[in-house]
Amino acid sequence: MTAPRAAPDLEPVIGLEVHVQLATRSKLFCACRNEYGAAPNAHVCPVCTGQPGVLPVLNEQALSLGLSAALALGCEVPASTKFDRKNYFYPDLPKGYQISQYDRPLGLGGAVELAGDGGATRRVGVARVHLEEDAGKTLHPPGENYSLVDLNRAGVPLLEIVSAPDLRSPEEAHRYLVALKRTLRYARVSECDMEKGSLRCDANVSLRARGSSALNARVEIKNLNSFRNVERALAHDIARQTTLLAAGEAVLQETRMWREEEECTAPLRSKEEEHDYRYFPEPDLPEFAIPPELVERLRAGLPEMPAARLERYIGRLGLPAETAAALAADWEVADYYERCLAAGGVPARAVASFVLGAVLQEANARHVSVSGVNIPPASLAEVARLVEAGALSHQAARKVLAEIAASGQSAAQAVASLGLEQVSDRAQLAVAVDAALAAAPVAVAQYRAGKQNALNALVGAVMKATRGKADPKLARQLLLERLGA
Amino acid sequence: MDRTTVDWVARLARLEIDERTSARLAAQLSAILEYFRSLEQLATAGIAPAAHPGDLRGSTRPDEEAAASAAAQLLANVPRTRDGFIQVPRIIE
Amino acid sequence: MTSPAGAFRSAVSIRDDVVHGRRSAREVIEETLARIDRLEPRVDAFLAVDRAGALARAAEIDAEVTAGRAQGRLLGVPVAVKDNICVRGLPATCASRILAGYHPPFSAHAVERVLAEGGVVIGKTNCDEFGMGSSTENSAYKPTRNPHDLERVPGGSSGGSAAAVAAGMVPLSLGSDTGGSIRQPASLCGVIGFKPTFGAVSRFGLVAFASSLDQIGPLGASLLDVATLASVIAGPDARDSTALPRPAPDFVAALSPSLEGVRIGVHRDYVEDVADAAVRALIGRALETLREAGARIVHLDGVDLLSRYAVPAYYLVANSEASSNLARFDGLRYGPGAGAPDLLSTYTATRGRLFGEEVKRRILLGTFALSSGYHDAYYLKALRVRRLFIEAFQEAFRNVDFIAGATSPIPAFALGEKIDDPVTMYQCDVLTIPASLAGLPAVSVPCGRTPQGLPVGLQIIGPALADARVLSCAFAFEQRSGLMGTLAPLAEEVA
Ligand SMILES: [Mg+2]
Ligand SMILES: [Zn+2]
Repeated sequence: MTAPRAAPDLEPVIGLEVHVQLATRSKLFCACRNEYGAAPNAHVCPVCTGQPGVLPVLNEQALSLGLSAALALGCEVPASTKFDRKNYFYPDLPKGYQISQYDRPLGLGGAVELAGDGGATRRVGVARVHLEEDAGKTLHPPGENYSLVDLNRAGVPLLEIVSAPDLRSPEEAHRYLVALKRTLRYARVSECDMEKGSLRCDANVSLRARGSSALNARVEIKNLNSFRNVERALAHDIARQTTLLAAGEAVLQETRMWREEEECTAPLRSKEEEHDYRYFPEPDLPEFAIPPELVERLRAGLPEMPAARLERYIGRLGLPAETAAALAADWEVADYYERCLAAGGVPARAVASFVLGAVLQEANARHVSVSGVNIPPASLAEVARLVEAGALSHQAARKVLAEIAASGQSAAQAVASLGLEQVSDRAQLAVAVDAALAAAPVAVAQYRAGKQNALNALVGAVMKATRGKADPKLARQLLLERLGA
Repeated sequence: MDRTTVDWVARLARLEIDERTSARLAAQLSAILEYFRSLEQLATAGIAPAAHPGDLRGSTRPDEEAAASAAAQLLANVPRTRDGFIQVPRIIE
Repeated sequence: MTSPAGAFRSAVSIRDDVVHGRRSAREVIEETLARIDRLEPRVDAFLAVDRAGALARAAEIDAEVTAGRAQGRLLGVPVAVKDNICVRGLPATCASRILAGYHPPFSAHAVERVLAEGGVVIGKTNCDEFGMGSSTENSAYKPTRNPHDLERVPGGSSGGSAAAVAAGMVPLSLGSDTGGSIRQPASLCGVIGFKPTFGAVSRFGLVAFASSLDQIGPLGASLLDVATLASVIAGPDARDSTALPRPAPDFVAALSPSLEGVRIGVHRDYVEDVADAAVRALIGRALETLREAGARIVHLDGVDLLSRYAVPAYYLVANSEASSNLARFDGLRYGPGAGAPDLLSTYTATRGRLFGEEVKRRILLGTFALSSGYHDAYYLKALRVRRLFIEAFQEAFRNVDFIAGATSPIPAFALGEKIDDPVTMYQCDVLTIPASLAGLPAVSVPCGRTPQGLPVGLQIIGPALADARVLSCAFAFEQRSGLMGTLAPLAEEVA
């Protein structure tokens, strides 16, 4: 075997396999609760523990969510689908086989669009989307000669999304995951919460000479528990493979584990049996028709997808690209934003800054999602209107929003109870302006010497003196008048 | 089917088989497979495989949780449990 | 309808007696238990007899009768259930050591239906381990004996269910049929056995052997009894996705003694080519009887029913599915399990030591047929051949209403005669397998005994969903044959 030429000519070829748990009430083939974090083996029944004599019955909502995801990813959805058995032995797999889909998945040939630099987008192919059941969880108490199995997760509906080997860098893999997660959350099919295990990812990567289609051996990397780790593990393994190839050594086709503490990938125990999954059609489940009416209903039920929203925010609402992207990044934020706009009579930009500022801060502080923040969109719109009318300063508006979230008061009540009606009376404000000028002779001198910034310090002093209630525009105007500008 | 194949299939199927049995099974399975070769006489190109006998259509169930749980009864059948978990021999990591 | 003298008590007459208070359910059950006590040591049909449970249930039924609320098509009727069909509260071992002591936490759909109609589950019957066999010698616990000749096998795999009826221990039993496991033992024991259309009876609670072939069905000594039990257990069940969605027709109401205008197909494979001369002769006579009842006999000479390919195609399909269905038996969640130091040896020791030889042989065969490299040549090939069977029957049923012939090419054979020769044993099912591959309804009904006194069964196969007509055709034959309710001579000894 001749050694491939060294580093600069090599490019990585990366594909990702993502599993997401579908947000159903019950499991895929039985009526047990689909819930994270219950006591071990609390949500089990004869079906999901693989008792003899029981049979699977497909959850219609899991099928619908799977199809919605396939449609949201632009996949071709077939007229019918079927399930297959994937046979292997493992203690977290009660039946000795996983019910999955082999040759006729829910969706084929979709794509995820990645926003590139300067507005260019890059299409990353989605090879297939299929439904399957999750396995249970195993625990390995350190120092003991046993492992423990919890079957609460066994039978939870999973959607497996396999990308085409279209990704060319770890950073691109990261962006693919962000975009995929966004789409799946928009389609409301999954929480996609990696911490709770509702999104899991395996990566595979190989190197090839740029311009060539001949790949070197493919390495599969498992145990990737965050998007950041996907990127780091890929970068690490690409470096490892590059070094090997540069030294004239071969890359082994193998499965490796990402070891977070050591920041490296290491081969999975090689004692692992070579797998022969013996796929065959699940005889307990006939074929399922996917009627065109169902597909149309699901397609119609999909919300506007992130890319379309981004375009609309920039094009029609005139938001800066960055603001628009921040809003569209999450469907809950985007939906909240649009409900604020729907209240009417408010400027898109101002509302956007409140949503991305005060509302997100409130959500982060309370560790809830935007829908969990106790600020009704109508109230936020009202606050924005007061600011726009000059009746409330920006600074005061933040306090009002915090008060609304805390007390559940209406915007008007909160403004009143905080005593934050803006001071926009010239006479009243003139007193504070004069006091500020008298207290800061240095700033006055600097301004007169041409230092424009000094004016801001003076405005700040007025705001401080009025505890934020001054109308900053008017304060500035009065200061300029007094300074004889 | 030779001994090596029998042993490979036995490993896939997680069946412990001693040497004597392996030899006997190799002979029996070879005879059975030889007999099954008669199927080769049938031309089946272009014939769709029939995984089921009839034209059944799958039906689904609504996404509802069942009220009752047989969890306790199921765990009672488990040979070894610990703190509500199913205990199994150590899975080598 | 006249009731024959002797040991036979039909389920229908028992039910009538109990409903009208002529006999109490307790009397019925006590008598049943007494007959089991006397005959079971010789026949070995049961793996478990639920004495206490059956008597308790009889007491409940009697209380209902006294209160005037009693109803049910099987009120007070004792029913035996094959041990691969789950009954809550009773063990379900599938005649395997790997399930020793296992108590399922639920009942099969068919059992629920029997109980809902007032039936009394008397016990669990012996069978070949996981239904894999044609003689009931593959039971891990004991062989069952043919009541007509205790040195011979009852057939299998539902041998215990057939023998219990033939010996007059119960009027009705439930069996399961994957490639002939109801019909072949019914034929060898001289009783009626019915395999419904695939999907007519829910498989919920039937421990799977081959999911795309398994069907639960009734065995009994009179067609009326069998049709009654079939009517009770057939119908939709949301827990089985392969169960037919429509309600089943009333099979009893559809019974008619007339065969006027009925065309019965006769194929060489099922008549002339049958191995045993005595069987051939009895089948010939049976066809004559059908003709006398008004049927027109149509020779299907132009149709190739592919019978010589049945066994290979069936064993590949069935055992491929079985290799997967039996993967769950690993000793980790139920069953005894074999203690071993590490995970891999726990799997292999449990499965290697607790599965019987035939089960292991079939798991290996199925695993091999599905493995990469062999999947297309064996598994897929067999599924394609299966399609040819479906089409061959469809072709044949364009011209005839039924196909009639032998159920088994040979009568009951001696215990131990074939047990070491799997290929010869597999040949026992050559005439029952085709209907299984195509999912068709088929019944075996007694048509006489060989000069040695061994029963022979006539098989009647119908097109898919023609269950009611198949039973009615068998009923017409039964009415003419004069064999209704004929039990094994041994049953008469304790009558
Ligand atoms: Mg998967
Ligand atoms: Zn469950």
